[in-house]
Amino acid sequence: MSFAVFLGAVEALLNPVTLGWVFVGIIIGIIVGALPGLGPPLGMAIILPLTLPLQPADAIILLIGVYSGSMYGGSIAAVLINTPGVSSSAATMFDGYPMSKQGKAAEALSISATASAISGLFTITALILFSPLLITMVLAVGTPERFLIAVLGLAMITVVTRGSVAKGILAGVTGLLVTTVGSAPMTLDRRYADSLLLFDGIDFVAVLIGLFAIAEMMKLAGQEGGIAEGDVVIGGSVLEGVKTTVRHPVTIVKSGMIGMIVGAIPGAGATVSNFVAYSEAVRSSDDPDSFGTGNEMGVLASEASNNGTVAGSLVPALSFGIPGSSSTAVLIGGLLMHNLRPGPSMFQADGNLLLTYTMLLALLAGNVLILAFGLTMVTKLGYLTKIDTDYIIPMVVVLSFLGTYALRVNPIDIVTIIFFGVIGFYMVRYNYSVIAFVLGVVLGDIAEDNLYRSLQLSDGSWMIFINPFEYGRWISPFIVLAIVALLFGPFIKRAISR
Amino acid sequence: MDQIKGAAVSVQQSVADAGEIVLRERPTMEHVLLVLFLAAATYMYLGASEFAAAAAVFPRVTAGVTIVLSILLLFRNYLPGPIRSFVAEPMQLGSKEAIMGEDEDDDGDDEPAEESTQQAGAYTYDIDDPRGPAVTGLLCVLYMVLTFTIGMLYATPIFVALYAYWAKMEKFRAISLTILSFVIAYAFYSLITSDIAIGFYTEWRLPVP
Repeated sequence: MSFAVFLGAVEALLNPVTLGWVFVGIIIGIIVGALPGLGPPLGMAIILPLTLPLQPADAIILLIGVYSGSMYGGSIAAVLINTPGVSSSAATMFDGYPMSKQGKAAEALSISATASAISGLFTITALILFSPLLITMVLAVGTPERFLIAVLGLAMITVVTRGSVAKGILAGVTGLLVTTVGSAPMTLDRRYADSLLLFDGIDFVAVLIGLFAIAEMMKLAGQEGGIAEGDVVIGGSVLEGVKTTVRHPVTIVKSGMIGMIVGAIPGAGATVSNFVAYSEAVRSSDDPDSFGTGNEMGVLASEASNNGTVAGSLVPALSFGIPGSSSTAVLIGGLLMHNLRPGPSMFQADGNLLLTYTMLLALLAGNVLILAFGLTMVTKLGYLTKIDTDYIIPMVVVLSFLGTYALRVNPIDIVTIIFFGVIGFYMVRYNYSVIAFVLGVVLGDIAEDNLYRSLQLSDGSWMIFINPFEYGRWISPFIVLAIVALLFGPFIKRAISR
Repeated sequence: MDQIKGAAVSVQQSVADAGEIVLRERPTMEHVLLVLFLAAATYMYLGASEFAAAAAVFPRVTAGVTIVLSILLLFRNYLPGPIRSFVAEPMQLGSKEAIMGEDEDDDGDDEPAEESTQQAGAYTYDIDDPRGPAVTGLLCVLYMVLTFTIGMLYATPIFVALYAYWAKMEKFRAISLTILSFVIAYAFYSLITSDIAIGFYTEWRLPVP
C-alpha cells in the first residue's frame, strides 16, 4: 500500500510544475541564506502568505525548497566575508574563510555544495527507507501521548536553547496562551474576542512574520558590517573541491547522521549540529591543529551536517507537529495554513502520505539542484554578499506587511506583526527562547485539541497521564517522567552534588 | 524643548530608582516584558471564568503557569538559592561548552572562537547603534498608521522613502528602491487583493467573520 503511494509521489514530483516549485524554492533559499542577517525561517515566513493561491503540495514543496537551499546558501557569506548567512553555517567560517583568504574560495564553496548535496541525498534516502517504521510508531501513539509529546517537545526546547529553564518555559507557555484567543478548537466557544477583528483569533502566520521578519530587521538595523567591502575574489578550483569531498565519504555520512539525529531534537537544529559535526571532525582528525587555518574537512563536516538536519527535523515535525527548529515551525505553519494537520494523517495511505512522500522526494531533487547550482554559479555568488542591509530591511518589512495583510485582509494582523516584532526583539535580547514561543504558537491548537480529547476519555481526570493501571496507557507515565527529568534533572543533580 | 527632555529624564530616573528598590536590580526592558506577560496572563486567567468549563481548561492552565513564572522572574532576587538557580541560571543540554569541550580554546584562533560562542547560542547579539531598532520600529508603526488611513498601496512607497532618507541612501538608489516597493505593492493590488488600496478615509469596513 505504502509502496503504491510512493510510486504515486514519484509521478507527482515528475510533474513539471512541481519540479518548477522545487527549483524556485531552492534558488530563493540560496539567495536568502547568502544574505547576511536573513535566514531560512525569515525567508520561509515571508514566502508563507504568498503560497496561499498554490496547491498545498506545491506550497509545501516551495517552502521546503527554501529551507534546504538556505542551508547551502548560508555557507556563501561564511566563506567569502566571514559572516554566516545563517547561524547553521557558523562553523563553516572557521575554515571556509581562511581558505578564501588563501585564494581557495571556489574550492571551499564547491566542497560546501557537494557535501550539502550528498549529505542531503543520503539523509533523505535514509528517512524514506525508515519511513515504514516511523509510520508504525506514529500510528501507535494515542491522544494523551500526543499531548504529552507536545509538552515534552516544549520541555526539550527550553533546556536545549539558551537562557534559564524558567525563561524557556515562560516563552513556550506564553506562545500557547496566544492561541487561546478566538474560537476554541473543539467547543467553538469564542474566547477573548471582544472585537470583531479578533473573532478568528490571532493569526499565527502574522505572529511568525512578526517574530522572524520584523524583529530580525529591527536587530539588523542596529548592527554594522555584514557586507563585503571591495571586490570579492573567488579563486581556486571547483573540480578540486568536488574531488576532495568525494574522497571523504565517511566524514560526509558521519556528519550527515549527526545532523539528522541532532535535527530531530526539538530546538537543537542546524545551529547546534554544525558545531557537533565540526568538533567531531576535529576530534577524529590526524591533524587537529590545522583546523581553523583552512582545513577542507572543517567546511565539509559543517556543511554536510546542516543539510542532514533538514531530514532529521522533519521527523518530529510531521509525526507530532513538533518543530525541530524555527524553520520547521514555519513549515508546520504552512501545513496548517493549507489545512494539513501534522500527525498520523501525514502517514496514512488514505490521508496525506502521498504529500509526505512527494515532499521527501522533492528534497532529494532539491539536493541535486543545489549541487548543479552550487558548482555552476560559484564564481557569481560573490555578488550576493555585496547587497547592503539598508536595501534589505525596507523590502523585507514591505513584503511582510503586504503578505500578512493579503492573507485575511484583517487590520489586526498588521498590529500583530508589529507587536510581536517588538516582543521578539526584546525576547531575543534578554535570552527568552523565541523558538519555544513559536513552538507554543504553532502547537497551541494541536495541544489543546489532544488535551480536550484526553480529558474526555478520562471524564475530566488528569490521572490519565500518570496512572497506567486505571487507564491502560503505559507510555504516558514514562513521557511524564522524561519531562520532569529534563526540566528539573540538572538542578536536582547540582543540588545533590553540593 | 530642553525643559521637556529634562522633565522626561527626571521622571524616567524616578521610576528606575523606585523599580530598583522593589526589584533589587535596575529595571530594564526585560522587566517591562515580564510585566506585559503578567498583565496579559492575569486578564486571560480571570476572563476564562466566563467560558464553558471545557473551553476554560487550557487558557486557565497556560495563563496560570505564565503568571507564576512571570512573578518568579520579576522577583528573582528575593528567591532562595535552589529556586533562584532554576529561575535565573542558564542550564542547557546543548550549551556550547558541552558541545565543543575545551578544543575551542586550543585552536589558536581567538577571534572565530569568540564569534562561535555567540553563534552556538544563536540568540545573542550586539547592537552597535541603538537608534537603528528604535527608528525601524517607529517607521513600522508609521507604516501601520498610514495603512489604516490611506491604504497599504500608497503607504508602502512613503515608508520606503522615509527609511531611505533615514539611512542616508544615495538619491538614485533611494528613488529606485521606492519605485520598486510601489511596483511590488501594485503587483499585490492587481494580482492578490485590491483591498490594500483601502484605508480609513477610503471606505474601509470591519471584515466579515
